[in-house]
Amino acid sequence: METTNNYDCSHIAMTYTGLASLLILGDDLRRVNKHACLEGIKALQLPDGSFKSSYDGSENDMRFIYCACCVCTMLDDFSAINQATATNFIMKSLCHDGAFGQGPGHESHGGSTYCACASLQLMGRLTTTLSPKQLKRLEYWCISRQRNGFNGRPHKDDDTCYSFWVGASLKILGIFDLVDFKENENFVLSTQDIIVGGFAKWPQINPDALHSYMGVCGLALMSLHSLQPVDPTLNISERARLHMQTLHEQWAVARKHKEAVSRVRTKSGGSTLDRTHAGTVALAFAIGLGSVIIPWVFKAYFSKS
Amino acid sequence: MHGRLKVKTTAEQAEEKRKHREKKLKLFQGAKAAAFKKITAKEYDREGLHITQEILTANSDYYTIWNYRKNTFLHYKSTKSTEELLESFQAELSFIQNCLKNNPKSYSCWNHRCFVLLTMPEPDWKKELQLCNLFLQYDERNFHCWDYRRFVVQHSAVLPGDEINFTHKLIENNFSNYSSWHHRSKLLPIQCPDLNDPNRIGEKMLLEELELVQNAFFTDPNDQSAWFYHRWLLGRGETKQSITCLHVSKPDSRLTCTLRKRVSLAQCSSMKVYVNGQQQNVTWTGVDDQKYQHACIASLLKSNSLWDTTRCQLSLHPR
Repeated sequence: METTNNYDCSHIAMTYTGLASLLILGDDLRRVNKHACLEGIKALQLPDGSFKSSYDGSENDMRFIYCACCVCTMLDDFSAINQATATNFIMKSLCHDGAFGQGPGHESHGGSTYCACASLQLMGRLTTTLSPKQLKRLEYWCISRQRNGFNGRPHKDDDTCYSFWVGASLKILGIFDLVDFKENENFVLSTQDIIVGGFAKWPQINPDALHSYMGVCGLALMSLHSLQPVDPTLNISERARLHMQTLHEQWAVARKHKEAVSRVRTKSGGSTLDRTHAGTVALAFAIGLGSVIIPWVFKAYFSKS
Repeated sequence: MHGRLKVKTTAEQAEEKRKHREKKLKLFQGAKAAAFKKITAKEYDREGLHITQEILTANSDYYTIWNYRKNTFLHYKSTKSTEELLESFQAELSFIQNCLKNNPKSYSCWNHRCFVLLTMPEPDWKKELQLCNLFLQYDERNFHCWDYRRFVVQHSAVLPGDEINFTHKLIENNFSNYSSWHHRSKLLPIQCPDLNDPNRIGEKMLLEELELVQNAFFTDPNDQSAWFYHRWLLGRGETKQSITCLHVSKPDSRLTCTLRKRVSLAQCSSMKVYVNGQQQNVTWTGVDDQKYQHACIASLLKSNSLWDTTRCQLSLHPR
């Protein structure tokens, strides 16, 4: 495989989106160096539990914890990250209003709240880490983001992308049915460009790829317009997530087979490979010896005549 | 471009725009190639700073290029005199400020500024606070700026009390300044902790805050900031722990205890059980897998003399 620039180091968000893109495209991840990928993620975790984005250095916050959790989920291996310290960092980022900021002390925000909820859910720790009271406060904050569409913080304007960030958080929390679907849909559609298509953050603004994707996902959460269902934790379609699940099942089978083979070897008190190897050597020797002796016998016998 | 209002142009204007963009792109790509030559060769010098400055002026989110500048300054730290170093860092701070004027929400810019402040000799934290004041004037909800302000406060000698006064001024100007209320929520427990419990706020301060927030929502009942803050304040009051119910089941040899405040299982283990004056060896379990529980259960030995008597005394001693 061709290498990219040798003076660029990887970026955790690109690792996440790269793997997600491969799954969306139906790839079997055979060409991904999973071990290297996970080691790379491991190297980005800081003592406080958060992650930086690249080895050379960057800010560290909730976004990159989310990326790390997604990579581990997609590669079906959480051993590379310290879940306890990551959970600790997430909980330290809980604010006075019940939602999550980017880090301890930071103001609560729809984006970081999504990253926190999804990370906890992916680690299987959402309901065991947050108390019922904390969950209720979080639900209240999230559902309060809806005016028509959703905003990312109180007293900010509605923005298309929060129909996904907050919508998906509500899905994860199990209260998405409390959303006013009509108002949400109307807002997202109002940001659609009627000439070139695509969605923008606000009405009458140029559309862009990010808000187009988020707008589509925001509508997909409501199962509207015949859109494919979207998985709220990994932020990929259900179809892609099922493909990932199939891969995980295949990997599990392959692992079990490998373990069984290794158990057979150690059980028979000598490697079956060694015995096979010895047999092969014996056969080769016999053939070699035969190829010398047999012509000599013929020569000796027939030369007498 | 993201966030720009659509504007109609003539075909001529469009063509001019296209040519201008192409020229800009060529310059940018040229600078990028030159910068990566420097990065590969690990050449950290003035020329490198000049090239990367051009790139970052056009695109201040280019973190790889910011990291080159970071490495250059780290190199300078081991090669230049303190005077030269200070001059270079001051110039860097001016440059970052210009980038921030165009892109006040750039993670990379604010992060690089943190690096400069932590690396330079004699950082001027007062000046940084003034920078925060300036950027909060542009946008009082810019959380990058608020986060940077918290970073400055943490590293400098700014007292929590002074910061609380600062938020007070902002709140008085605009009750709906959610970010100010949030900042206040982080400072109060530091400034006025309850002497008995550092997670709580002292009674006097609590009552003053309640008055402030009530003024806020009387002024504007639709303002969410005040209501969220009010709810948080109510939770800062002290609740005394007590046993609300203790149930003894003889057939099951089981004690069930419900408490007013949730406890963790670790805290439960400090609860001692005495039957007729004799301490019992019990293990408390929760009712589900939640970390904090309102109720906990303990099993008692079946052979316990408790079961032979019709009257017994149970005392629970929580720590």
